[in-house]
Order: sequence, then structure tokens, then C-alpha cells
Amino acid sequence: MNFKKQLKEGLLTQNPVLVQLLGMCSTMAITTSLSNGLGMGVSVLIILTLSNIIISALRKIIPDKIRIAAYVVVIAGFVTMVDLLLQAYLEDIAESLGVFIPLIVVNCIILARAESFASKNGVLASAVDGITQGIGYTLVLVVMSVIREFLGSGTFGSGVLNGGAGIRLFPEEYGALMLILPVGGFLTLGCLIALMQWAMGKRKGGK
Amino acid sequence: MSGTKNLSPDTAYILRLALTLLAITAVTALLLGLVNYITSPIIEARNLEKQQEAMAAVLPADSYEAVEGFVPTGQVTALYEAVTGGQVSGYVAEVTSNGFGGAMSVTVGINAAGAVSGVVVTGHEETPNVGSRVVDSPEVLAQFIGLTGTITVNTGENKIDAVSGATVSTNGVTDAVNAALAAAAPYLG
Repeated sequence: MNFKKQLKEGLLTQNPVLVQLLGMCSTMAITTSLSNGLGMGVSVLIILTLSNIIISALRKIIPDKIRIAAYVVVIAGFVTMVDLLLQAYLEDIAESLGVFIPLIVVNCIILARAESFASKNGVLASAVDGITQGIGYTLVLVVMSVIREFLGSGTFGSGVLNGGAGIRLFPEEYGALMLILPVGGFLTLGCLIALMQWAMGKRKGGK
Repeated sequence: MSGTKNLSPDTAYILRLALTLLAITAVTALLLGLVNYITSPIIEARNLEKQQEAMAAVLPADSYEAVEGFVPTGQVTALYEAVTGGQVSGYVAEVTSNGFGGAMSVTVGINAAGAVSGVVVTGHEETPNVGSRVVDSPEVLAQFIGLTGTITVNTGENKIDAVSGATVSTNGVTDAVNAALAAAAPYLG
């Protein structure tokens, strides 16, 4: 099944964050609480899927020489729409993600998928690619958010569970503040990439 | 090149590039206009509601009206008269100030006696658990209530205490309150 293969690529072997190392800026900056990670991940998933569909549908109309300009217009259009809709209907998420929603325009994941996948494949395959890559991105963001939120502020699921306060696992003053700061993003991501490489190497060796 | 027999192939190609891009841009702009048409009233209402909430929190009054002839200064972006029972009961200032992480928006209420009646930080980019302990803490911001003139941090007669480790954030809020007091001073009898 093609979908299965694409899902495996998106989640593991071609994971946009852990393997392709794309979209680092937002990954570092916003993964401080579960609601942020989930909000950003789902926003990217939606924009990536929509822009993949449109770019794939237009791939025979768009001349090669202006393709990047055309992609950027399509992506920027979707990002602005999502930004406006978030501000109108999900204001809390829009506020905590702030400038990182407009910055999805320059998130390499979306342009990279447009260039390397959607411009060469059919609409359905591109839609599936957008969804699977988006899930891969969201998953990493959620994992990073949970780790950083737990170690940094001692809560789980703030902004989502327990009426927005999150479940407190240990008192806030014992949290390692460093993990909430950008440096914690680098440390967490580094550990996750190392873990990923180790796990993939082990699987290869076992075969 | 059918239909473009008067044009050289190069010109036709360039035209095709430009027209394709134009079409994509036009469709995108149209859709964006549509989304904006739907969302902008909601966003505006939300912002107005938030502004009213902040004003009611710092200085409760029946209504708030923009002060006539007030010219925004570098920091104070808007100044409102709080009206209670037909009488001006004080002023509310919206101030932008610099914190540790960037700009912060502060709403300051000043009562008829010229003293601070409340301070609310409506937007900020302070470090979580450090600067946010200043701007999100009603207890810390309550230190300003009742103060007049120029407020200093930690030293002097007319002072508030900085939150340890977050002096820059405390200074940012204090700057905002001082700017608000200075802006409202000419209007206070």
C-alpha cells in the first residue's frame, strides 16, 4: 500500500524534522507547551496538505521558470487564511503562536515538499504526502513540547487539559527553566535526533 | 504559437509566464479578500472586547471616551477619559514599553486624584516563568496602585520592588506607568 509507505516515510525514515532537518525555527521556538506544539503542528499539516494539492493540480500549468514564485504565492495565501481564521476562531492559540504562524510561509517543509514531491506527483499522492509529512512534523512537535513542558514547568498538557492549566506533576519552582528557553529546544531536538538515528541503525543492523 | 502569430516566440513565452503568475496571484488575492471579509469583523469585535475588559480592570467606569486633542507620544498610544455618572472619574492610558523580550502593551488606569488605580499587561513577549512572573502577576502589578509622580524601581521614596531575576521586565512596566502618569497629568485638575 502506497499510503502505508508514505506514512512510514513521514513518521520515520523521511521525518521532516528528525531526518530532513526542515522547519527548525518553529520547532525550537514554539514547543514549550502541548497546546503550542499541537496548534503549530496542525496548522502546518493543514497548510502543507492544501498547498500540496493546489501545487500538484497546477503543476502542468505553472511554467518551470516561475514555479518558485507561484509556490510562494500559493503557500503565503494559505498561511494568511489560516492566520486570519485562527485569530477569529481560536484566539488563544493565535496569541501564543504569535509571529510563528505568518512565518510558516518560509517554513522549509512546505516549499521542500512542493518542490520535491507535489510538483512531480498526482493530486491524491500529494495530498497523502502533505498529510503524512504533516503528521510526522506534528508528532515531533508534540513529543518535544511534552518533554520540555514537563521538565521545564512541571506540567502536562497546559492549554489543553484541566481547563487550560494542565496537570501539575511537580511544583513549578523545581522546573528546569533552561528547557523552556531556546537552548532547551536545541538540547531536546539533539537528543531526539540521536535517539532516532540509534533506533534506525539498530533496525537496519537487525535485518 | 497559435493565436499569437504577431509575437515572436520569446515574447509569447514571457507573456505566458507573466499571465500565469498574474492569474495565480489574482485568484489568491480574491480568496484572501473573502476570508478577510468574513473574519475581520470577528477579530475587530474580539480586540474591542479585550480592550474594554482591560480598561474595566484598571479603572471601572460607565464608559470610556478618547480624550479630545490628545496627541500620541512615543509611548502612550491612546488616552481615554473614564466617565462615571456623567463625571470624569479618571483616565486610562494604553502604553507601549520595552521589556526583556520585546515590546509590551500596558493599560494603566489613573483615578481623579492622579494616582494609579490599576495596571494590566495586555501583550508581552517576556520569558516564561521569569519576566512573565511580573507581567502576569496581579500581586506584582498591584504594587503600583496608589502611587503618583515618577515611580522608581527598588530605590528611592516612590518605589516598587522588582521581582528578582526579572528587573528588566519590572523596569518595562514601570516605564509604561510613568509615561501614563505623565500623559494624564495635564488633564487632571
